[in-house]
Amino acid sequence: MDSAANSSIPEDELVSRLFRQDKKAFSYLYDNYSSAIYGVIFRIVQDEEAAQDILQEAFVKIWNNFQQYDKTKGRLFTWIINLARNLAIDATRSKSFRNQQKNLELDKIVSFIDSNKSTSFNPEQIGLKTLIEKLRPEQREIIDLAYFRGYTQTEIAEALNIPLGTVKTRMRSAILRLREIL
Amino acid sequence: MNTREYIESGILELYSAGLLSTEEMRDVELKACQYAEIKSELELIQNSLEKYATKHAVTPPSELKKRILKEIEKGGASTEVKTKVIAVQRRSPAMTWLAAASVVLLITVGIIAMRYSAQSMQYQKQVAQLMQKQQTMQSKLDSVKNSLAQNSQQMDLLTDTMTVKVEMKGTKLSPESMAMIYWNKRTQEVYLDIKNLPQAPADKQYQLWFIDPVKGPESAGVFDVATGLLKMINAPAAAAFAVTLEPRGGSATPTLTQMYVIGNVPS
Repeated sequence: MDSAANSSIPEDELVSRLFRQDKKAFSYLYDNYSSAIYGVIFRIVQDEEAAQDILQEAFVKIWNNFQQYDKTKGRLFTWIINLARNLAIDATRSKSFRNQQKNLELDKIVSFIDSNKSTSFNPEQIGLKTLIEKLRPEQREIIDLAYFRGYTQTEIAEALNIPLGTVKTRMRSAILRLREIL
Repeated sequence: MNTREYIESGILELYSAGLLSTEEMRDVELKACQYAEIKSELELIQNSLEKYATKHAVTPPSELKKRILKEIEKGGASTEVKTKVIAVQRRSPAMTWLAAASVVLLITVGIIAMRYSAQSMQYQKQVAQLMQKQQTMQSKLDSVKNSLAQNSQQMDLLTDTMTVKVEMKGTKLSPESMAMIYWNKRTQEVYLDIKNLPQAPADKQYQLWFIDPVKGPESAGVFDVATGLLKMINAPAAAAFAVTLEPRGGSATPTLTQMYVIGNVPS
């Protein structure tokens, strides 16, 4: 993930350098964050070409709109990952995407990623399977529907056939479990 | 606000998973600013989601980085201006210095403009943040002012020579029970201070009575067990005060078999 010549830059410094449009800082940002972000985008859109376009769009946006980053609202990674997620989710909302995705069932996504041989995987990917095995299926489902599919509360309630109020409590227990495991 | 309840409601998880409306999100952010407990819980949640996301890391193809760097290179408007001016430079050597100077000037202006706009956006954000902080401080100040005014009012009542203190002692039904009444004969105000009363069942409520020497028992209002002074209904005349346990909402006349405390007004 890290390119050889780069030593680690503290987040505060990275932020202020990106604010000044420092290209070296941007390159560092890319080297350190792109695979995590690409992984999330890829999981949402499930298409390599689309994922690459969205990753590009995300990084250009980060560069051009860095003024919009508000340090008090959370860490840099949170901002970036949410920005990328939103772009990817917006892309899947388009009609052509909807049709393409209809046939993909939720529990097939993981095997879909694993079987897709043309993409090189990060070693951290190995941890994913064990992680998922430790989550109960309904816990993984609710996190993935919200975080990776961009479903609204109502859509989640409908998809899982549970009362709307249960979305909140199930989401909490799912993330609490995630906190235990990680 | 009860921060524990707020945290346990799951709203912070909904926020972190992107399931809230813009308004609800702003409210969560405001609460995170106000309460350190909420802020740190939110960080833990976001951290775990980030780690979960990181677990899905996939290395993008290496040529993508070059493509992106080229793209942001293209975005700078100053490069276009530069090439155009350099084209002029070839026509006449006399123009060289002028052209160079104009390039420098343009670039300088560009840089200054960029810095200023970046800075002004930063300032705007800071002003908005400060205003938000000021608002929360103001509401805190208001509530402090309120409770202070209340306290000094109570203090006035307690130290007023027209205020009598009535000690209501436990009956046979509940010998451990105890409560105080502060009754001002001039303003007729009645304050109740519960020292010890058992928790009432959910369908029942305590009711305070003042015994009018002529008309008999009159209701001074229902209450739940609480700390601090409770302001009750004014009593114009009272020989005694008593508390009974009544169906929730109170009764028209006291249920004497359910009397918990009683005390005479000292003459």
